[in-house]
Amino acid sequence: MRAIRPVRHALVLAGTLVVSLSLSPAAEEQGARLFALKVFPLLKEKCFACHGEDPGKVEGKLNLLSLEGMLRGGENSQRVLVAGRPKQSDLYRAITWEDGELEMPPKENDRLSEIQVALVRDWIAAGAPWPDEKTRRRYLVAERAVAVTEDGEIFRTSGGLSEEWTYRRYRPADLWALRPVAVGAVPGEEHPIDAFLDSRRKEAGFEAAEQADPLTLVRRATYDLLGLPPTPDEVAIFRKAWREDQEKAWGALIDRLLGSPHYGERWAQHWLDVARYADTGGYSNDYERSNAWRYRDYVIRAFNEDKPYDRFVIEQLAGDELADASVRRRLGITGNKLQQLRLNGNYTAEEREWLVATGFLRMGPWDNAMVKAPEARQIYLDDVVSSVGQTFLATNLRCAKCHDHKFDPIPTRDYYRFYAAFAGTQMAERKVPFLPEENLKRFEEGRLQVKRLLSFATQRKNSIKEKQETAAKAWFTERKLPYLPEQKRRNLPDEEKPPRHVGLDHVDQGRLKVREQDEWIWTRRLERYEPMIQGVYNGPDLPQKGNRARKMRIAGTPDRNWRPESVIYSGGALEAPGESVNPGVLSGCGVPVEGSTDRDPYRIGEELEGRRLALAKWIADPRNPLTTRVIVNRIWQHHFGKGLAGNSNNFGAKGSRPTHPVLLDWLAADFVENGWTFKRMHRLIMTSRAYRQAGDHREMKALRGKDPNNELLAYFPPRRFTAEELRDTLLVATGELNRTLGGLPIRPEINREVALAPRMIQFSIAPAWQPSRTPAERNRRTIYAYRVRGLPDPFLDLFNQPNPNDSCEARHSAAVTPQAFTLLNSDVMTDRSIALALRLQGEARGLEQQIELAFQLVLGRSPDAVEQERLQAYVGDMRDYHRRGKIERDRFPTRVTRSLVEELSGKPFDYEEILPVFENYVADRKPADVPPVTRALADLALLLFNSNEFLYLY
Amino acid sequence: MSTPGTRREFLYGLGSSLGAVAMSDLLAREGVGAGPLAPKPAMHEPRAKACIMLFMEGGPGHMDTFDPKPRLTELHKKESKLTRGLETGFKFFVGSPFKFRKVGQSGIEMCDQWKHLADPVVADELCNYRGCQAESLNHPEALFHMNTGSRLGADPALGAWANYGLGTLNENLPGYVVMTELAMPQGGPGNWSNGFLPAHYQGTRLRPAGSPILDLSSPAFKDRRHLRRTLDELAFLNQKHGAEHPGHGDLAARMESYELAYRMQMTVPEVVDLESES
Repeated sequence: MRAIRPVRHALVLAGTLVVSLSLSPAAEEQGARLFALKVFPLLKEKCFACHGEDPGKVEGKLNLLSLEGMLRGGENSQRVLVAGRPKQSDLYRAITWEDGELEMPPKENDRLSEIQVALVRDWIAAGAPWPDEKTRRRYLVAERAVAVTEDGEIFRTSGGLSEEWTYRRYRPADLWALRPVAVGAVPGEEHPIDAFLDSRRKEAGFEAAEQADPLTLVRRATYDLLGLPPTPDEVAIFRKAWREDQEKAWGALIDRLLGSPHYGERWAQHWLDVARYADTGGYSNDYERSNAWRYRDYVIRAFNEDKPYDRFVIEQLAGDELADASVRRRLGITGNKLQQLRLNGNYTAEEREWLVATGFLRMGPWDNAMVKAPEARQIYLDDVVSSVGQTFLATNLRCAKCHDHKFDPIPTRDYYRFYAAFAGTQMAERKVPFLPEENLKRFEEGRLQVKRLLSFATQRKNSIKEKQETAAKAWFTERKLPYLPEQKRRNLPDEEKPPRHVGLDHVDQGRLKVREQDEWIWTRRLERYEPMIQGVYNGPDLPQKGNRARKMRIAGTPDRNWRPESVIYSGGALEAPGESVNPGVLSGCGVPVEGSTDRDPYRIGEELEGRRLALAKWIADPRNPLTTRVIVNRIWQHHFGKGLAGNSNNFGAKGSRPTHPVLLDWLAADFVENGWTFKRMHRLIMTSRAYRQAGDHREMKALRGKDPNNELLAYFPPRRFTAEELRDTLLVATGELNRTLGGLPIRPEINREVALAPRMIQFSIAPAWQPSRTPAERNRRTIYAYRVRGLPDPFLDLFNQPNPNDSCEARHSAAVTPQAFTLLNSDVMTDRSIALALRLQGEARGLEQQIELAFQLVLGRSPDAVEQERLQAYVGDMRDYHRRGKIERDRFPTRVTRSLVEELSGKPFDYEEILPVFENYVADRKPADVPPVTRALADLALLLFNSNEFLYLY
Repeated sequence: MSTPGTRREFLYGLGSSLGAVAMSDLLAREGVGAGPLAPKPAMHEPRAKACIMLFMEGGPGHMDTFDPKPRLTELHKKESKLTRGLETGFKFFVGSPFKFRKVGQSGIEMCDQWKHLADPVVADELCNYRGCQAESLNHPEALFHMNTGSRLGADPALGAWANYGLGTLNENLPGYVVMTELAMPQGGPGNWSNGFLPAHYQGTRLRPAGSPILDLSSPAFKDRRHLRRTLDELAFLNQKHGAEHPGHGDLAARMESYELAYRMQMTVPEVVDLESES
């Protein structure tokens, strides 16, 4: 038997068959290299765990950790490895799974791919060389010295938990978003956007679509910028101007729209989708976040003021740190004096705005009921890290919470450094006086209603307590003991006090619990009218007593020396703390933190104050390859329906690659060069020819075949109204919309069954949905509608308003059958149709004129002769129909009976909930309020509201 | 108007323009539902035909029903030094008040309170998976975890996945139907959401009181004739619009959804009418 070359160690060859190979030195070298780079890591990943790594449990007695082991074989095979003969090696046969008897690794999920099987085959065929560790290392180092090979690109980061991860190779194209933004030359003379789009489209062999007609254009622009329809007057004015001078008319239109305060409302909505805005906290209690609305209005103002995006980023992430720094400069105070100021809120207007902006960090669902403090803390911080990653960097950081990212160059170390940057951030409802711009109307009326509900709860609670205490007194009297009130006897041993709920049956007990809960809820909701914000501050972690989500306040005396213990949690588990980390940013972006050293350019300082500011500045750094691409991509998405990069929250390997990468970079660079402002970018996009294209194309069929997703943007993509556009448009058409900006959330009427249905929260049933009392309050724009995480508005939800527990990068718009039900049958639509009918009757004489007006208001055009004829017949028939029918008047209940199971006895009980708003409610006009002829016109209105022409924008 | 017998007759025989448009679409699709809810060939041949998930939150625990814990029984009333929970004060173990026994040929274990389930005819059809572990102490997170696999409540529910993977044969009902108690469970619709899957796959809640699907019925003062007439006019308007925008695929789907809605008005109440169950 002869030794196999070039192995340098001794072999145990008993019972094995060795074949001598005559390989050239180059081929042997190749085999050894193959083993070092590919096969050994593969064996390590797939085999060693069961076959040798655990000396106490070696499966099949087969140790694969060494060549000797392989050649020795195991219980099931003596021919595991036959060097030079893969087909005779049981190792090879096992991994191909062709044997039937021998399938390795045993689980289908772990099975080797064809490529991996081929690697092992090639290695065995090359004589199964097994270089020693030193040699293998040499090969690895040499391989890793070359950044880009045919196997992919090594990407530098702060390093993974394993070398394999650190030096793994990526498909270069997958790393597109991490390359510095490159400014390419505009390929042509025309508008830069058209130049880039044209060049790709022409390559594919298609012309652009025709220009859209003026009606389509004015509607498109108005919806894109305001989320509202143009009025008939605005349409007429635009058409006239368009006939005179198209460019001038278009420019003037854009200027007018960008100057409208409704622009801020529209674009704030896009931002709130990503930020996950809601007015409640979610989970089991779904506590109200009574002041979240101030953040919503901040966002609206930011857009209306055209606040530069870099400022927008910094204010939302570190507004409190900006405010504190400003106070220090302004007043020269620090320490306890500064803490006092934080508590009493004596900030300037500018500082207050910054503080309101930090509401962004409070937009995730959170409740720590029944969760231990460290875990609840982790849930919050993970949520912030994840949200910041998705919102500003289109990066899924949460993937790296438990391990190095599976697809992107984000080590788990970077996740925890990012996490450490937030580790001093504490949630608090803070005192921040109102700004002059904030809308404080309706506070008094609102407060009165809350107080009414509070006093009802308190009254009922008190009467049960009285009953209890009457029985308690009797108990003491019977035993000839002095009476002790509840608080005083609480800590006495059982024999010395009456039972806890003495004198109360299960019904009383159940009701008592409900009323105590209600009292708490309504007391807390008075905070709506207080100058407070949902904000943050920097401070130590607090010991938890009870449910912190109930009441979060700044801790009175800060511990100046406290620092969070920041480590990598292995597997994301608090029970498995690993390596310590400093706060830091993502190492893969190649952008240093301001003021850092060369030794670790991605590190943020360890002071408790200033971590978020440093992180925010790093995000807002013009050199950050992600930030600027992400935002221009979002702006593009909200004009063209889809981003240039199709997944606006994910620019990683698993997100869609940009269809026009050079254009995207050009836009990003242009954005930064010109001040990071949105309005300029809207103008740039909307003045392109591409934006003004028609939605149809003469070669549509061919286009659909070659470019089914319209990546070429050879025509303008049609879209359906969003939920907000739909509701707002209905209100504009009927004339009901109240265009007031900002302020406390309002409550539209929602489906009655849903509004009154019992909704479980911790211990009780949530207060019923009571719509706002007057039409003027109810009929505000939808962005002002009270948003409850646990109870979506069924109408809006149906039209794909997103779940605010998750960041929404793009809305769905599927046509599902429940939409048909709601658009045809719901009270909401019935009311809108009645309102439109009344408007038609008020503003037009005679059926023909009324139909004309209906078309103008709903569809923006005149009906043709056929439509007039048919619809006159339709309305006539409906008139007859309604004259014959009977109709019942609807009543709003002022009380509702609730039923629950009492917790300790398991027996049902009921209690009463009052709905005081219905006592002097100003309802919308209902079918029973109007004559048959109006109901017939309402049928016409409903018809138009259900039509495709109404719901789709071209 | 006589009741049309088949779906084709129903649409074709109306003389309305909707018929013509939808008809060609139907013929192209050969009968059973199409679009994203169409039955799909599965990646692996499934043996199950349908899935009914009974999720009964708040019931007696597994240790009192199907998962005997002998060690717990031994420790009954003994002091506990465990620190994992949130309780304070003197803590002790509480064993199950029930005894367990093996039933049927399979020997599946269940507590002695079960009578009908313990019948071998039933017991031998059961399979118990006792490996699930919850991670949350609180309702919404635990509900989300059971229904969607994630505690955070933004992922697709089991039913959404099944709907996505298998589609549905039923033309008259949604593919994924959810029947809850009168009260919405904690966490709400996050428990049957489509998550990141397209919206078609979300669960449709059949409500236990009032109308089974929200707004299923027309308002009381509009009867079915009124609806039919309205849908005919709607079809006219939509057909005209569709002809002006031939490339736009969604329009036809929306038109179809109205006809499905019309059919569902009849079938859904029948489906939820338990009186007619044998």
